[in-house]
Amino acid sequence: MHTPLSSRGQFLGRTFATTASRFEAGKSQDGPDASTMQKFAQRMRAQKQMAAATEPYVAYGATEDLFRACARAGDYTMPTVAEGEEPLRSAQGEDLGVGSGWWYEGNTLLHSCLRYTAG
Amino acid sequence: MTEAGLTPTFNTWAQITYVHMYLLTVRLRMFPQQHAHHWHQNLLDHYSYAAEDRMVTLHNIAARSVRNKYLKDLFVQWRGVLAAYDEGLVKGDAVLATAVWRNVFRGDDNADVAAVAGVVSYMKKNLRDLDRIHDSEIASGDITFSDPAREATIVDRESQAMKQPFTEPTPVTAQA
Repeated sequence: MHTPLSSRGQFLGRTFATTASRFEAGKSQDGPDASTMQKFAQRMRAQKQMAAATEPYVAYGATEDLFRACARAGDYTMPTVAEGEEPLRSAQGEDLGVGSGWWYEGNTLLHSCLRYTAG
Repeated sequence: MTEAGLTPTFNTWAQITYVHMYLLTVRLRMFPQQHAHHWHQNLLDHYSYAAEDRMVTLHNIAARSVRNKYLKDLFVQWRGVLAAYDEGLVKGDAVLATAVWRNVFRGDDNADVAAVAGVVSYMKKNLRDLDRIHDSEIASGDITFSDPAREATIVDRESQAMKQPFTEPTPVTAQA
């Protein structure tokens, strides 16, 4: 078992282990907690070159959450259709789902464009 | 104020999502220039993944070629929406309302004008809210949009412009 020389060496040994023995050496110690890692990530991102390199990855992850917030209001579900039955369609021939909330509630448009395709 | 009363279909989902993506896109333009394009591109990519996923899981569109055709069309729609809402933002609420009516309400004659105005008011409120929060908060990905039902009081209030005298535009005489 390796004895880490310094707390810094120990930290790096655990996070970026290059050999199995170093990885084990790191594992036996208490690892950095989330806030330490966050500070470390922030420090890395504060460096100009690192910021440029990490930006696409940060943007990818964050935009996933941002997009989720954007898509929430318009969310709808599709009712299950029994076998042999035609699904309900709008006047434009689109699959008609079920939605709730401000955007879908109220019946100003729904009745004007509803039609059944079956029969 | 009445609710929007939109028909729950794939295209309506796309249009409501576009409204929110547009609000966010306006804010992302304020990011440092060298970073902003990553954010625009990734947001659009996530939209495309979600749209394709929806086509498969909710609408049984199994053929990839058909999905690609729709995705291409959705991209063109997004470009159109960006241009239309940008024009509305520059020219004023009335122009923005026509863009909302054409896209979200599909130019339906039966659309409730109060609901159309509600969407415009909602867009302006959220643009203002997003403008007030720091870049790092946006970059954390944790944002929420307001409740559109809250715009009712603003929409119902009579505009000051209604009391002003209406002036006929001066006819432009053709130059010889």
